[in-house]
Amino acid sequence: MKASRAIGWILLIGAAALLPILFKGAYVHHVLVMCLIFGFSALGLNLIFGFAGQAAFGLPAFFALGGYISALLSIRLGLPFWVALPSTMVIAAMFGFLIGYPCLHLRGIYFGITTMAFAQILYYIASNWISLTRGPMGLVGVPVPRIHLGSFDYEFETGFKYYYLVLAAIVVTVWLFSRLMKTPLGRAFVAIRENEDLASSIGIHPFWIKMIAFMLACTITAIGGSFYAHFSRFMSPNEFQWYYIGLTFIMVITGGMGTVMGPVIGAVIFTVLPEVFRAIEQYRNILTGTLLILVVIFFPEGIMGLVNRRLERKKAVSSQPPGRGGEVDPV
Amino acid sequence: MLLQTTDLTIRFGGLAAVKGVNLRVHRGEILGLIGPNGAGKTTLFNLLTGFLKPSSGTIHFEGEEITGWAPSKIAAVGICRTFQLTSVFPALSVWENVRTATYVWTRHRLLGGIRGRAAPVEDSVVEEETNRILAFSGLDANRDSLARNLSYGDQRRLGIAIALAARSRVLLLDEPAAGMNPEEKRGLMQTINDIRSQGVTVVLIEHHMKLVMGVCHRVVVLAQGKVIAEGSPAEVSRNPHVIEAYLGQEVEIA
Amino acid sequence: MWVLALQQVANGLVVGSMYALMSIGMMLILGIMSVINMSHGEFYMLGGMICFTLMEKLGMNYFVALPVTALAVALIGLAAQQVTIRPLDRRPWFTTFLTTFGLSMILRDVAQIIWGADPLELSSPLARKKVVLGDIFLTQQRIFILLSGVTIIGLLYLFIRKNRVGMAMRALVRDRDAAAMMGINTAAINRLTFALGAATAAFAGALLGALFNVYPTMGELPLVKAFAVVIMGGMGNVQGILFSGLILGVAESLAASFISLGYADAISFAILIGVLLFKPQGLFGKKA
Repeated sequence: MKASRAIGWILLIGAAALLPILFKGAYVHHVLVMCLIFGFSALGLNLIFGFAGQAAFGLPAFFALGGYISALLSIRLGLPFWVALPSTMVIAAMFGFLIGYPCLHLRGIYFGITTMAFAQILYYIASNWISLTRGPMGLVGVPVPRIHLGSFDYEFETGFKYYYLVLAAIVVTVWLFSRLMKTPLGRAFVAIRENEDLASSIGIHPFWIKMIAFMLACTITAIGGSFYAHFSRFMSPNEFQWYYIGLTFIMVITGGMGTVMGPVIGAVIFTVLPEVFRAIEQYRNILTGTLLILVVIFFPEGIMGLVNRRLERKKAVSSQPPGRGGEVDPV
Repeated sequence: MLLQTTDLTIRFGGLAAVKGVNLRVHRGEILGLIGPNGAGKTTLFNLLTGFLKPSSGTIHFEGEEITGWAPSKIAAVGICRTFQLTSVFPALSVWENVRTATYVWTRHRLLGGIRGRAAPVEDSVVEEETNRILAFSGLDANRDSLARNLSYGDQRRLGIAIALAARSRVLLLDEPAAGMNPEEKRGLMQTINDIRSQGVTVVLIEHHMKLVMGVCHRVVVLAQGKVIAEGSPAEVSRNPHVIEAYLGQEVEIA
Repeated sequence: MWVLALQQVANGLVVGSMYALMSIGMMLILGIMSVINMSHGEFYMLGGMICFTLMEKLGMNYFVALPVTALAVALIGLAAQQVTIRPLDRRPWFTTFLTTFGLSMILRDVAQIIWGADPLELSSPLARKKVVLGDIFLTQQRIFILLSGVTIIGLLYLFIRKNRVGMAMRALVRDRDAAAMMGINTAAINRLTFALGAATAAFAGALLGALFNVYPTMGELPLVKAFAVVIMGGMGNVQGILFSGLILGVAESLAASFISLGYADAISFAILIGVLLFKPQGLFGKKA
């Protein structure tokens, strides 16, 4: 059981590593990198929404926030990417705390709307604090990641190289994520999603556990934003658009809420699809909106939900020793 | 004295739902809490477990004042409850339900799991305990079913199993027999007795008098937010105040 | 200074009355159907656009076009409700949030294909006629907006309070299941509510559109302002919504001229967050 899961992991990572070699071209590599970058957004939203059950509609704004923080740190303070990224994670977590503290006192609909209001305020700040963010003109010239040690000098300036950098980061993130979900803390997230009152009556403090989930979600989303800023080398308030809220939710739901790999799969599908639709740019939102409606109505379990149910059934048929059905299965 | 309230009162608007209740729960007893609908029984549970903050009065557990504590903190010292409606995690399997409830005594190694096999012994302890409780509650055969697919009676039993897995020392059961058939009720009586013999004190709200009379050592009767009688099941059932309170109820229904 | 402030208060009341009108629709949908209608801003936009087409292409008079527009958008709303909300009965609340979010994306781009992205001028016959009230100026259109806003809100209030259907709606807010058991046709009330909500938004769009032009993305900000007003006003409280709408309109108008134009739109979010944090039951709501 354990071994087969490990093999699955290795095959998946291997396949991911082969993609840019099999599919050549700067444009294709660009799309591949974007798939992984949006993967972080989807992972973050899935943590707070899919696992902890809190519909944080404003969370996708942390993608843009992370991008801005990372871009500003490297442009204004001249920090290298390797310092800017972890600093961004810490700062994003702090923003998560500041925004989460008031919002998490609210439940359900009100929590969702309030996070969205904060997201909109971040957008106004990015658009109007011209001296810091250059407003709608955006920040240009965000430096690419670079390793410079004595005579060794390596720049991640192409999509091909950048892909492996982001791939490594997302593999580590997914691995940590799947480990986390097997700890009491990870189970506490799910307990709150399932029944908040019951969770608190078995000793789980809903407010602080949700706070941890929200801060982690903000951090993960901001990692994607940071990678995005140093890849596109440009940040503008456009990245705060509500379009991205819809898009990220589609990724998570289609992939499978509350599964580890589902949202990443969803991110790949819904990064590639708009590119396929690019020829009919005019209809892009119409297609995305239609898909969102169809997915929510007809496909609430998502891809991984269906896969897991298949596996469950198979397991039930082969009558294996009773194990932990429906648990977080990473692959 | 394990659990004790002094002049416990809560008002909603101008109305006192619980007024001046002095409840004493002795270590190791099974205490029944009965009374007509709207007497304030569930409200009292909500006060004891911190889901509601009293307007006045105090609650002590083992001599320590716990008035106004958060529900999770109260659960952590060992006062656990079940809920009338859903007392399970619906989309999780029975096994996961119970294991999740071990949170309170496993959480100190929050990060242990991330390091991989750093704490294999602990994991096996958790699994053993989970299995033990499942077997004890008679839910072994259903361990892989999702909680929401269980029968009503089984969901009640799972609710109790969850509270046990959280290592409760006082277990507050809110109408555990609601919706159970006679056979399930007999099983429940047995379970409650078994729980007590493990050293867990039980307080239960129940409408089925047969069950209350059969299992409780002591009964407290609540009407309109006040304690109107207290004593052994036999004493209480002869008490004219109690009969009057219930008669009023019946007139209302008819 | 005082004259400017007074002028801004007057302008703010005009815009605020429309925020209130739109928000009542949103509140009814939220209260009765438990749906956050993310496409409410697009119904507002369609109000402006359809009114424009009726006038420019069909030569309709503005005052005839207004009710026709509201009716047309009510029908569109009805169709939208059948597709995006009805199939999700008894599913968690965020599902309809997402489907109406999807609907808003669709409607916005469809509008762009039909009418183009550029602002169009919706010319009301009252737009150029000025009225002087002491030290302040208002166009007749602005006065017309304020009066029709207050009138429609008053009629809605009477409808909800006095009419049998209105009372059924209120019963639904209190307890859906009980209302259904009492024989109220909840599905019909849902349809009516959504159509009515869409019509209020369309009215606001067609009225305000004559001040600010009409374009496919014009509904984005009114949507979030309607959020803010609903939360400020407290659920199920028509007077509260009216006052909150007017307060928001005035606050924005004053902020735009005395603080900064860029941040004026942020006011609604600041209010939204402030109210949610300090008075979650709304400024005018009763304690639960």
